[in-house]
Amino acid sequence: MDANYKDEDIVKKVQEGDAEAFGIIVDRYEDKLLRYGRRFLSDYDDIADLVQDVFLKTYVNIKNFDIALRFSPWIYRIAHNEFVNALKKKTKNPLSFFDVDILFPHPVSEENESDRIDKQTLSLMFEKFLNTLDVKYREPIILYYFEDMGYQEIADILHIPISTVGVRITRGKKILKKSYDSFEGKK
Amino acid sequence: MEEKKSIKNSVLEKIKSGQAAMKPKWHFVLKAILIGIGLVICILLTLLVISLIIFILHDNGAWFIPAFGMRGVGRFIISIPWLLVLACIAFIIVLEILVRKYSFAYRKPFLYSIIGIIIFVIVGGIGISATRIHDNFSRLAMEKRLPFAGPIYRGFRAQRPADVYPGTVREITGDGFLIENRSHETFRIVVTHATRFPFGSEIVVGNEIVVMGDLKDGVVHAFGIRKIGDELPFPPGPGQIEMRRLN
Repeated sequence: MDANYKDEDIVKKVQEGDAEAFGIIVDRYEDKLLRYGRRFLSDYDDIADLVQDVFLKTYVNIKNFDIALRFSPWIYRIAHNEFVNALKKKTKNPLSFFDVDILFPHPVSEENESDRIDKQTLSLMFEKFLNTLDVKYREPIILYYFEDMGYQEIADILHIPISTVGVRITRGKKILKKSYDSFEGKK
Repeated sequence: MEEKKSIKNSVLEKIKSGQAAMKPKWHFVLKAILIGIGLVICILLTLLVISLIIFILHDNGAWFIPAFGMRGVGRFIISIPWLLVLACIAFIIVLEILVRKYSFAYRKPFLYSIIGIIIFVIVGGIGISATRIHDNFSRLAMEKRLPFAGPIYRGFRAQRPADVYPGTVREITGDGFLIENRSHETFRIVVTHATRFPFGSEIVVGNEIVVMGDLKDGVVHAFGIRKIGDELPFPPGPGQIEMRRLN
């Protein structure tokens, strides 16, 4: 099938019974989901198994997808749920994704001019300290910086308010910057 | 590359062998309908419970007594059917959980959706309480012709606040008046110089009133009296009372 076909067109074919077309979906999303999984679950060994389960769940539930919407946030939502469940099984402490960030509106971004970080520092920060960041901050940062998602798409994947996405990315970056600065200071 | 090949092959193999099968469209439609029905039932139950709370507070007179000052406010708080309030809070939590499945809710802060739900159910509950639905249910409950909810109405009617007497004025006496309540009990009310009339003291035969006071020797010494028709949230100023007397 032509590479110019949109995901939604391919999904329509799958919904109509063309199982082979689902192979194209796997081709298009496999690398992305493996990368997303590796960054999200940095110390998890069986990312490939989890990603395979994501594809199987996507196929099983594909008739629930509305082709008028974008497919990408939908499959990432399935991946998010799968990864969170894997994390819950692995960690002894129950994960809590409910916090005050989602309670109140955050009309103004917390980032100001002095908080801006250049690209090189940002990539060094991510490389060295992203794994140490709390999951609730790590995941929106991965989706925003590595998966090129917009705030609304991230909100749809994580089921959190759009303003909270911004708050978590900004706070996550601040925490990373702190770790980075103290690391640089020790050198 | 090997990993890549194996994921794709494995997924397609499972699909072809039937180990992974697409759920039919009707499965999701049915699920959506069931969630929708659950949402509607939850909304209706919340509206019914809120309107029932308002009905109970009207029926036992507690709704009107905060106007009598701190003593009235204290008695009002004690008279609130807290079990129903807890049930109402539980329904609101379930409603919030159901609503947050939809993008219009989860994309906005929790505070917006919960405030929206609370405003909606309170306004709706007040609207339902303005109808005669609970009067009719209550009458059926007293006649033991209302299944399921009958004991709720009978139970709350039996739990009247001890010092609150709603009723209709039947006779004006030298030092007060006689009132008759819905259970056809008659009480003699004595008005003293300390009796509070936050909405004016012009009471005539036939007025529906609420009296708050202490019952001693078969006589209620009124601490506060107001007409049930006075639905203002706060007492009017002295000028407004004067205007009412002139009218």
